[in-house]
Amino acid sequence: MARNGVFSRRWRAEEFDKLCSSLDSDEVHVLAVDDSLVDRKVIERLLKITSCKVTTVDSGRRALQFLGLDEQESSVGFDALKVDMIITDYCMPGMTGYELLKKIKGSSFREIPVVIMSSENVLARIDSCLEEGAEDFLLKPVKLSDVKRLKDYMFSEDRSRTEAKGMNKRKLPETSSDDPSTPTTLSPSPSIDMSSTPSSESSSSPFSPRTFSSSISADSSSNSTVSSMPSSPTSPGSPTRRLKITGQDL
Amino acid sequence: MLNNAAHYSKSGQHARRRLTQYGYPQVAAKTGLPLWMLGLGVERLRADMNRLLALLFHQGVLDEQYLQLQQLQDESSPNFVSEVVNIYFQESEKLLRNLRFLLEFSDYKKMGVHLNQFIGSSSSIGAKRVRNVCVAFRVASEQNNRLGCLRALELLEHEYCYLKNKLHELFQFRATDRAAKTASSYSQVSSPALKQKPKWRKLG
Repeated sequence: MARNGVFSRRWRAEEFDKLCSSLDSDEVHVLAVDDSLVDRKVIERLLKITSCKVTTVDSGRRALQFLGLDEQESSVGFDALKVDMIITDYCMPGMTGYELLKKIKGSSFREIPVVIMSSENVLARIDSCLEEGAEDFLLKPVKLSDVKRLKDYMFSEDRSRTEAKGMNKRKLPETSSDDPSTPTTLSPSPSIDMSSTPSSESSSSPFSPRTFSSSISADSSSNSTVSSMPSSPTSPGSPTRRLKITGQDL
Repeated sequence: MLNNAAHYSKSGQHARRRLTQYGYPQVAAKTGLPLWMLGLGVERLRADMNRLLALLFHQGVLDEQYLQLQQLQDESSPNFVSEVVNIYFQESEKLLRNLRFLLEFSDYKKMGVHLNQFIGSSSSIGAKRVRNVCVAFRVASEQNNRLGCLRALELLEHEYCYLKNKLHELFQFRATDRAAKTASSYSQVSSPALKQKPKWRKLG
C-alpha cells in the first residue's frame, strides 16, 4: 500500500476509479478493519454473502487513509466512494477500534455508522464504545446472522424509511419513548427492534445520526445488552430521534 | 433389462472391493464405472467424513463456528473453508514460534499480545480446544507464571497439532469426494444400462 503522500494520491485515484465503476449505487459498501487476516477473510465473506461491497484494511491508520482522513491530504474527493458502514475490530495494535471510532465520529464522516467487533465481552468496553457513538457492538466470532441483522436494520430500513416517511410520522403518537421531550420514530417493520442511523448516502436525512442500539434481538445470544443512553445529536435541531425499543424495556 | 441388472450387482461387488483398495478416483478411471456405481463409494466417503466431523465436535475440538464457515462456502467460493484454515495454520505456526521465543525471555506482556491474536483467530474458525488452552495460557502469562506458561505452551502445541492433522484429514475427504465427482462426471454414462456393456464384461 502507499507509503508516501504522492504515491498514495495516485493509488487512490486509481482505486477510486476502479471502485466507482464497480460500485452499484444500491450496493452497501462496507469498510472492514481488522489486523487478523483470518478475521478479515471471514468478515469479508460474511459481508459479500449478504451482498455488500467490501473493502478490508488491516489497521485503523489504513482505514483513515482510505477515507482520506489521514494527515496526507488527498485532492481526490471521497464522497463518491461512499462508505456506508465501517466495521472494526476493537483490539488492534497501533490504533484500537475505539480510537478509530473516536476519530471518525470527530470527522466529516461522523454520519457513517461504525460497528465494533470484539472477542471480549467486557461491559465497560461496550459501554464506552456505544457512548462514543458506535452503532453496534458484535461479539466475535461474528456469525452470518449478526451480519444479516446489521444489514437489515441499517440499510433496508433506510431505504424504506426514505420512501415511507409519511408512514413513520403516522406511527409517532403510538410509539412513545421514555423521553417525552424527544419525539421518536420507529421502524415501520415491526420485526426489527433496533434503531439505526442513516448512512452517508442519506446525509440529507433529518434524523440524528448518533443514536445507538444495543445489539439485541430476541434470538441473539452472542451480543450483550447495554442500557439505553441516548447520545447527544450532532444536529440539535433535528426534529426526530430514534430510540431503541429494547432500551425502553430496561 | 433384468438381465443387465443381475450383471450389475455381481460386478458391483467386485468394484466395491476395488473402490476401497485403490481409492475412488483411480478406480473410476480404470474401470469406467457408471455413475451410479461410483455413487456408492462417494456415499461411504461422505459417511466417513461426517463421522470424523461429528467426532471432532464431540471432542470439543471444533465448535459451531466451523459450521458457520462451511455455510459460507458455496459455488462462488468453493474452497473458502480450506483457504481460511490454511491462513490460520500459517498464522498459528508463526504465533507458536514467537510464543516459544518469548517464553525463553520471559516477555509475558508480549506473550499476552500474541495469545490475544491466537485466541481471536482460533475462535473465528471454531477451534475450541486450541482457544481454551490459549485462554489458560494467557492467565498464566498474566501471573508471570513461568512453569504454568511452559505447561500451557506444550499443551497448546499438542492441541494445535491434533487440530491440524484432523482438519487435513477432513480436507482430504473433501478432495477425494470432489475428485470422485469429477471422475464420474467424465464417465460417459448417463444411464447405467446400455453404453457401458462391453466394459462390464471385462470386470467379471
